[in-house]
Amino acid sequence: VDGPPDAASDERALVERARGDPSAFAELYRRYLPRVHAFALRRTGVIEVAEDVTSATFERALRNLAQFSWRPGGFGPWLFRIAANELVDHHRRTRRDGSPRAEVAARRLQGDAAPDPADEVHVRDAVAHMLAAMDSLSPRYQQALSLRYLSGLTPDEAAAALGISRTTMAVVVHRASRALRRAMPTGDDR
Amino acid sequence: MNDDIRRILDAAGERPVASPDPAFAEALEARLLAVAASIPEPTPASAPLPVRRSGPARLRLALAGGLLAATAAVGILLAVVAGSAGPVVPPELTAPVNVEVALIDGTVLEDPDGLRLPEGAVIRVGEGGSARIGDTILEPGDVATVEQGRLTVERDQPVGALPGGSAGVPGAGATPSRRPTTAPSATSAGRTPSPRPAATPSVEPPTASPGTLPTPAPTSEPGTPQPTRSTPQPTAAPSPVIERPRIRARVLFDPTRIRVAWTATPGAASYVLVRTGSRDGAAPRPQYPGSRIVGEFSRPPATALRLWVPLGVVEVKLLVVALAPDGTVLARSRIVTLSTVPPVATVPSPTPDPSASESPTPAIGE
Repeated sequence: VDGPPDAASDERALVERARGDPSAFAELYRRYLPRVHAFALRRTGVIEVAEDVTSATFERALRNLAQFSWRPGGFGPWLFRIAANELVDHHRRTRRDGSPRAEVAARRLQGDAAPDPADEVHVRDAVAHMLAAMDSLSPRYQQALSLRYLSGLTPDEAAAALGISRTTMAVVVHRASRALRRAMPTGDDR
Repeated sequence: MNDDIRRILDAAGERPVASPDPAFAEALEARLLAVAASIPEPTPASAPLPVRRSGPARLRLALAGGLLAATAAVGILLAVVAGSAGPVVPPELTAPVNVEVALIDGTVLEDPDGLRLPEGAVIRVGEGGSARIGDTILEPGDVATVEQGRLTVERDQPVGALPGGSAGVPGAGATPSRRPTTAPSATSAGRTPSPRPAATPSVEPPTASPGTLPTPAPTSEPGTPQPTRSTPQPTAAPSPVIERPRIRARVLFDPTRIRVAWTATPGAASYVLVRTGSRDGAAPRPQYPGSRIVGEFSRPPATALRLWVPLGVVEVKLLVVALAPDGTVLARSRIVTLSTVPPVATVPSPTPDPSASESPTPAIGE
């Protein structure tokens, strides 16, 4: 998403080409796959789920490419917004199913990582619980926090992805963080 | 903003995560190409994007949305009242020959007879192939997709060609048509009039008719002991013993695929094929629910289906679960373990017996 103007114009040309020739979408796919996958994996903690979300994201983007209009943020924020929507949908489904997927994901996230020094274990534990707590937030708050912190987008790009100004984004993130703090279990709850 | 929360969020965003699996990336790209081939043309339709709209535009949208919702509600009501509500069961693929089905998770199946096509499935008919989905007959070159429970068929498109550009038959590729096709009579259910390729000449198991519940193959299943081989029909016992599906599978190389078939369980309304895989060491034990579902089938495949094995996977475990009409588990097959590393062909579990894995039933042998 970041890059010099040349890269942006190159991407714009690529998007235009992909609009008329869907096979050109493959180039965009290769360019963004690692980042979208990383975003989904950071948010879910489960590789299979991340793959499902990534698949759905790119397919939805491909099907709706005709409706994409170029904006200063470019293609990336648009794609990440789709991914954020897919993640919200995923968590909504798992919550509706009554599946403790978030807790499972949190545990997987902990289990997949290499052993940490003792002083980092606390942070890892907190991250796992934070991700689980994020599921209980409203879709808009989930999108704001995940786009701002887990997607690798800059603050401007994250705001562009949500279609709001950077100032509004800051307000939404602030409120979402407060809600997240309330949703997170205290030490006693764990 | 709370510093603690920000620190945790920052930590979460900076966590190193695994790169996408190359096999997944490859499979998804293939699937996207298949999807691209099925997209008729860029039309301004429903956009999922957060585009800010002007006031009048929003009003128009709201009015249109309201009208649509009201129309849909009335339609649903009428359908329910008339007792003709749309089928809940997803469309089913019947008698596929040289058919490739790409699922939304990147799974690719070849000739998955009886597969209930899930949302987003892309079905491509290869050269000389055919298939049937409901009343629709698919012919060579057809590409069908399942969207919102509906089947859309693109006709007369050369396999591998993409719409747009210079590929394809002039006119035909640009104007996708949902051609109403005539289905064969009910007596030929499960068959299409088109010829089958010579590669699968006599692979019909004894259960050729989908309407009848087949008896299990009299031959031994790899890894399944048959203690009562001398008794011809052990299911005549008075107690209603639920017969588990008997799964058979073997590995095909170049490219690596797995051929799978199984027998029917009386009373089963559907079957779920579940798989696990591993790139190093033993694959985890498949569980239902829990493990990745390859697909749901309305019946055992009349001919063995083929499942693509992702690159790098060294071991695959398969399980077939027979489901009752209410969706509860009726019976589970034994778990079959397959090594996908050449030259080992098949290692059925739990008793690996290479000699028994080949050819007693023609459903698997090639």
